[in-house]
Amino acid sequence: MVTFLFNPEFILLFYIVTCISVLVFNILYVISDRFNEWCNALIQPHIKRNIEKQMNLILSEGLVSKSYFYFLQKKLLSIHYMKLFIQALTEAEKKYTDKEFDKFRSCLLNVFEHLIQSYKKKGDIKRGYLACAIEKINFPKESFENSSITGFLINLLGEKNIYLRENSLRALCSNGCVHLILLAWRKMENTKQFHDPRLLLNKLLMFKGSKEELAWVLWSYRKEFSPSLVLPVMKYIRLFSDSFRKEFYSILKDKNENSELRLEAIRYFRKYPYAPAREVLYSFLAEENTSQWRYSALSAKTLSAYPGDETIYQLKKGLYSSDWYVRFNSAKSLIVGLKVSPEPLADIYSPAAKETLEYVVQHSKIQVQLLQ
Amino acid sequence: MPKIILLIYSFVGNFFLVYMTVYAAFLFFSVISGALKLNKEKKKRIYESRIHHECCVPVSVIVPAHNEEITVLDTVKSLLCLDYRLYEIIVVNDGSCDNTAEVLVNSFNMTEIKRPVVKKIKCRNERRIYGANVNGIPITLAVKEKGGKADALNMGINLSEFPYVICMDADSVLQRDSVKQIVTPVLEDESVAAVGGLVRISNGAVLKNGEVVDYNIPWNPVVGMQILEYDRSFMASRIFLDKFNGNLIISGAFGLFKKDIVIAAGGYDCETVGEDMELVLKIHSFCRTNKISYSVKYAPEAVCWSQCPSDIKGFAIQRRRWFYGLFQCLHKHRHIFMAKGFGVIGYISYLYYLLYEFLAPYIEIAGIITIITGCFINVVNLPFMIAFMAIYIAFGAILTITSFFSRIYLKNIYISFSDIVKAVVFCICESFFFRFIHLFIRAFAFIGYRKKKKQWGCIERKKNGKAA
Repeated sequence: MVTFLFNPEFILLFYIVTCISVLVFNILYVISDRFNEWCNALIQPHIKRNIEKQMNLILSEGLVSKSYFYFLQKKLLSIHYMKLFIQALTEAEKKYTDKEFDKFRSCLLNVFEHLIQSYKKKGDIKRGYLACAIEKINFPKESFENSSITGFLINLLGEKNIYLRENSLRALCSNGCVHLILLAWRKMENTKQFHDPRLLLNKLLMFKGSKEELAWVLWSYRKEFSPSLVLPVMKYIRLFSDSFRKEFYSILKDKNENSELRLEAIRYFRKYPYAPAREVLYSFLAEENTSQWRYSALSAKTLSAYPGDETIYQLKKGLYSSDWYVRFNSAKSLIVGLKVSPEPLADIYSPAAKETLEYVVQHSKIQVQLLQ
Repeated sequence: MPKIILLIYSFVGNFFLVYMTVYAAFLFFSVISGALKLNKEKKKRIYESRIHHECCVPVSVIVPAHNEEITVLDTVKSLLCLDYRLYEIIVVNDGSCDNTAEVLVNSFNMTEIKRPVVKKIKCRNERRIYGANVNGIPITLAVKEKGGKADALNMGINLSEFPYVICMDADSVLQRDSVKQIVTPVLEDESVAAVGGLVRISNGAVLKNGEVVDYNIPWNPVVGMQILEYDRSFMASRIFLDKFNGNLIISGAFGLFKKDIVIAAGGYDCETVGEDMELVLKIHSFCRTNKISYSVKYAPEAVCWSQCPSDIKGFAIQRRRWFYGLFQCLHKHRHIFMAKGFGVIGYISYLYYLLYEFLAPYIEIAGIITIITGCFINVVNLPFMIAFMAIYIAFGAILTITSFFSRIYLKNIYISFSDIVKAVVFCICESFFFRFIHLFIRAFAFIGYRKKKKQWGCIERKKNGKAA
């Protein structure tokens, strides 16, 4: 008979038992989920009633029940209770004005200052949810910016886990304190945690304070930051401010500057034309180095905001580029942006350029159809 | 009994023992780790550890189509309902003999345009290109010479305007939030080169505007067993291999790719049947050889619904194609195997696909023959072998059930009691019968296959939302 190296059936039996345990665990998990749902349905109205009771006390007598907030301090250590509390709070605050509810929020600030001491030691999901809860509560700006909560949030920005950084940034930006955003940027710079510029821009857009002030503060310290942190600031500025022409022009001209920042400057000058930028854009468009095609293509697009004979001449030259994007953008700027009639383009002899022009004409017709 | 025969049988017996035990261990650990991962994802969902992004990554959705007049319109309509801001749709009609192009042109009032195609990746010539703009979403239809699915995808990549491309099948329906979900790994990590989504079988699902309005596991055993098989493979190997950037496959039904990497790597290979796997292997190979920091991710939250064959014949055609594709990919990229610079991909992923995906049918059939002959010459303990096989099969069945129900409860999916019964019945059938049918289909996949290697894999199409 064949002899085996080891007894296989025991290993398989062990696996089977473990799998059955997983199945049993699944079943128990489903049951506990249902039970929790049932409990939540009972607890949540109770939490809401308590909040309303406190609000009545605050509004009628200007007092707070210390025992209630002490109770919260203990209960909110549980992330599950925290979730229920935030849901109830969101419901309850609809009944009051922001000013009225700020009194309750201020009392809650002390509770959260205590809570962060315990939450600091907890796992990522719990710390992340605390940051999320802080955002949802929307503490009054004045008391929030001087509290220890901000330190907790800033520290989260040095964490490897992107969700912690995301939740923390949301909480900081939704409050509207400029100096906190500056601190946040510094923390991210110091810890070298890469955070996608698109996500950073998204958070800046959530900022509730003065946009112009935030833009100037972040811009004035831009030398401290790496390009991935400056880029979202520039994009943010492009969305609402035309007061940065001079500053962006210096970036546009500087050959040693990061290419992404220079490209962003080109985009800025498309939205906010600036006479001195015209010549630089021409030179980018005329660039023959194919590795620089992005500058040329973007400049071709931007020049649609700089009408004039010279621009038409430069864009016509752009039609002869070996790069498709440069040709396409030049044609689009001529036909769609500058609305150049067919006559001045009659002398275009390159088949590739003609083909591109023809395509742009058809493409623009489709756009017109859509608008109609 | 001659000693040499006994020695041979001892060697073969022990080989199988080790082979099956290692496979069982792999399945076991991968299912458990898959369940843990989904559990963590569920907690993240509950406690809002999510990326809320309104700033979208612009994507081009490429739909290669060949004789898809029945499904293509629904597919494009569902794409127009995506919960996403910045994307374009590119349909590539690859030499269809039916009215695939006409259906789209008439439905969306598309205009023929003379669009130059910059062929950064080689592909066959276009015949006509149409354009339209529906609700602000640009739609491009390229009608081209027949060159196969890979060629059609290459054409789509050449036409795409955006830095990321989503490649999908013309009979697939993307769930409304699927694009948002599949781009999330790109926002988490800028080095992500490709992301695979979760493919679920749409036979039995009723979909409306990219949302599931009703779902039942069909009584058709071929479909039912494939549902379980998909769940097991996605839950087990995909999630597990994702842990160490070891996924070698992103399903052709739904995958996101960084366009410049795909172009630099040479795009889809038109000579390979399994073009989806080949591209992922190519990306691994290209990035590792050129020392480019990259990762291939799997996003289980990004769901795509795809039709599966509903009869054995269709199933056999599909699986033969996949198996042949697997062989081509493993052969073409054999340099990865145990290669120093490839790390886990060379040592674990490639080895897994070689031993437990490609060689499995041959090894298992050889094992069955050995047992039968061993019984005849009385060198095998028959009761023991039967018990062993029974335990092994039961183990497979339990793992399948575990992965199916783990996904159901961890993703808060409601299923009816009858679906639970069907799942259990199909699971047992899959382990005891279907698995062996699949085994033989794969084992004989090579016979007569070569002649058809550049053809599209076709299954009988039905409109999505109607149960098979």
